[in-house]
Amino acid sequence: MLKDKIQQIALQAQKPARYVGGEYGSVIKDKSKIDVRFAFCFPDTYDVGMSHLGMKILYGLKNARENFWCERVFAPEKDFEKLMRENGIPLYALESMDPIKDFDFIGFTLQYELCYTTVLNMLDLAGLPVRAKDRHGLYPIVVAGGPCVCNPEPLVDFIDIFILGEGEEVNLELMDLYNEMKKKGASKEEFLIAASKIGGIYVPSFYDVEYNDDKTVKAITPKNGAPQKVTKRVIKDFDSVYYPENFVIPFTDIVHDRAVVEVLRGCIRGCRFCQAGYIYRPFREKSVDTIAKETKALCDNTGYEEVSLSSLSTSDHTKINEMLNTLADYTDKEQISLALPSLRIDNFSEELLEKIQKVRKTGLTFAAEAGTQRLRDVINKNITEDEILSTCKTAFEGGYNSVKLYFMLGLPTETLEDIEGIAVLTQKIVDLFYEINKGKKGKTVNISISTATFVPKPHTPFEFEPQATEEEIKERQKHLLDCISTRKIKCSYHNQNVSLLEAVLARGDRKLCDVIYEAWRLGCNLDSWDEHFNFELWQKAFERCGVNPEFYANRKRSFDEIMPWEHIDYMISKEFLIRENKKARLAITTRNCKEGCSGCGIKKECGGVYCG
Amino acid sequence: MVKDYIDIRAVFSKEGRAVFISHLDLMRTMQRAFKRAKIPVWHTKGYNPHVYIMFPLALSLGAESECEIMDFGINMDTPMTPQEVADRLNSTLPQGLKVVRAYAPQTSHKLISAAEYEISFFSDEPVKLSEELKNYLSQQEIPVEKKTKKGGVTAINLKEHIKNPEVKAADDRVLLKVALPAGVEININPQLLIDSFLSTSSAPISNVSVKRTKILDLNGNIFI
Ligand code: SF4
Repeated sequence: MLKDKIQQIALQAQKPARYVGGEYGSVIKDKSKIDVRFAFCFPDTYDVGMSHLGMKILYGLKNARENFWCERVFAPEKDFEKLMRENGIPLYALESMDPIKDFDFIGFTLQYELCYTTVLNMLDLAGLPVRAKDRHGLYPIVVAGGPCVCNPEPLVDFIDIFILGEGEEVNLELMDLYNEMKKKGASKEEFLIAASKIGGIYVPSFYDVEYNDDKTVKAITPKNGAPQKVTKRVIKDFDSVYYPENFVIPFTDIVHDRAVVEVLRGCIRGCRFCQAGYIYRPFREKSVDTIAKETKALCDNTGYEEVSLSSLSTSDHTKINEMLNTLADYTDKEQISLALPSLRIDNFSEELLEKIQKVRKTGLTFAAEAGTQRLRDVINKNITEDEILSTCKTAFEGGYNSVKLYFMLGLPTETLEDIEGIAVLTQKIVDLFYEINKGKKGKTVNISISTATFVPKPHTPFEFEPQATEEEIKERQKHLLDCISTRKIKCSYHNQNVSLLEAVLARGDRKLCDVIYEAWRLGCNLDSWDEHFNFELWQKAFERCGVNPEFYANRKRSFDEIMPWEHIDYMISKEFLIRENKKARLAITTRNCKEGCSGCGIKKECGGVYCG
Repeated sequence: MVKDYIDIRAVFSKEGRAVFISHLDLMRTMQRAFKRAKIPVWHTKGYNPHVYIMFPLALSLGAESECEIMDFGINMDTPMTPQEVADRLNSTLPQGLKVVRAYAPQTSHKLISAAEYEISFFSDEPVKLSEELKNYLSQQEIPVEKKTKKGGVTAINLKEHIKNPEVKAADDRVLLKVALPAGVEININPQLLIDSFLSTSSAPISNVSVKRTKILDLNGNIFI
């Protein structure tokens, strides 16, 4: 039996507990009573995938339906993959240990571009043809969701259906439709045609793409009655949306091993570089009551000793103080620690700071993103130097002595003066620390600066912008180092080749399917891991396919260019993006949604708190 | 400091998928089970209080057991009977872990001195294999290299440590029952015996499984 075979070879792998399931909270069902089986695949290792909230939500949601069974699948590490291939073990699901190739659905969540080759590898490991056109039967239907599907074009050859936007409703609709049609003996084609009528369902094979001589997109034409544009799904009543009362509790250590409660969705800010800030719009929140109830249920049922609040910007919750008070009372009593990972610095009050300290003192991190006020205005990151310094002051007075700052290099309109600004700002923080701790012996401060190359993303005002080239980035990195004069400041950089590849895949078109296929054939897999990332193989793949990565990454796109994702509607209008882009060039900021609606294109019916 | 907890010892089995839970992971797994079960388990005092649980005898990854031991405390001001502790834990442990009994410990865990195992060698030729195993065990001396705690190796005569071996051939396997030293003084991992035997045997073996069946005290009685 496959199960016995897996258990035998698992012992030869690192951390075998990742490959055998059986965790508390995992859902086992009697498969003879199941109508639709769903293999939820996270295209990364167990440690990363098990930390992901979206997967926990959809796992619970589907399993709450008696006739559906959703199981988990992760990418094996290379040592275990080798053992699997040597022993003829196909990719299987952790709950039943059945091969996933016989499931009704295989669903991938695409959280970052660098997981694309892993998707192909997992399909192959499952024993399936990686290209959709070579899979003829009704099942398995290969679907994909997650933030990256806001431009799914680089993966259209491999995936049957993309699910745009929030999954809580549409996943069940899709599975119900499938169940109905499977019973009637429908073909794959018939099912895909019916599925394409559901809002948020994008069937890429129903669209023809033509190109201009200059390789840009000329036209995108639907067929088989598919809509001209597919619009993302949004949960209108976010307060009553499904939320799991239990998680699968891993045996082994994973990246984030704790209870997580989602407090709000969407973001009011509109930082112009930030894709999440646009594609998850509009801003909706849960009531304090719901948050408290979900926190208690999860902590009770999981036995976790830490709970974290998840959102893009927790401090934007309209009742943040009431919420923190309520939660802190509960977690104090139960000896649970409360983690607040996404508090913004510009409304990080003293009162709030105290609240966090009551629970645990960790390092302070700021995403300042740019070194000068001018450039922060360009990117609409509405933080002033005064605000940064006053937050640091409060923190230093409260006993903090380490600060981590995140910046981007290569932002639109950036000059060497902006780079110098990073060093100047950081030096001011160092000086502030010593001013506050004057006369106190042995007090030193650690400031670390982490810089990443800016990656222009679809559905943001910077989707038209070129990414800075390697030479430009090198020059700026060198300039930054030249401007730093103290050893209290440590500086680290992201891998430039990774940023380049992200830029290509994020704004790529259908021609990249062959490149991804080729890169995978050459051995690329688990690219998001430094130890596995091999840029030379990617370069070879680009060459072999005759595709120039600079065309996608470093080219300025005009406002009237048809983007590869023109038919993928995340409700942010192109007019708005152009308006924002023009304002960015003039360093004019845009107010946040709370201060007043700026008419981004989100419809009122979506349930946004501030949308008018 | 005044002792403010009651000692409890739980004996639990570990089988099925739970054999893949490492020693370190078992600690985390049990801590969370205690929390879910709302058992008033004693926490260490001080700067970073945590649930106090002790597993006196480690079990190799992949081995089954009928008799793992776990020591912990119950807060004295919120007492709970061992039976209730066992029941509550059993209602929330992951599959494959089950408390078989819980009681007030009679002796220190330092008195653990041996453990009994059932080792199954799966083979298409069980008769031949059982002969080989009997011959192997009847040798005067079985020299093996044992890893020391400091990371070196020492040569020992394994034969001296093998107690009460029984060999039985079944349809698809050969079963070896054996007691080996366990505990703080000297600890012999059954894998040492398995590897040593496998290097001498010529019969085909498809798989080997290990199950710990008893933990014994100095006198060869069941440790309680
Ligand atoms: S419609 Fe207005 S309020 Fe709603 S998300 Fe867009 S800009 Fe913000």
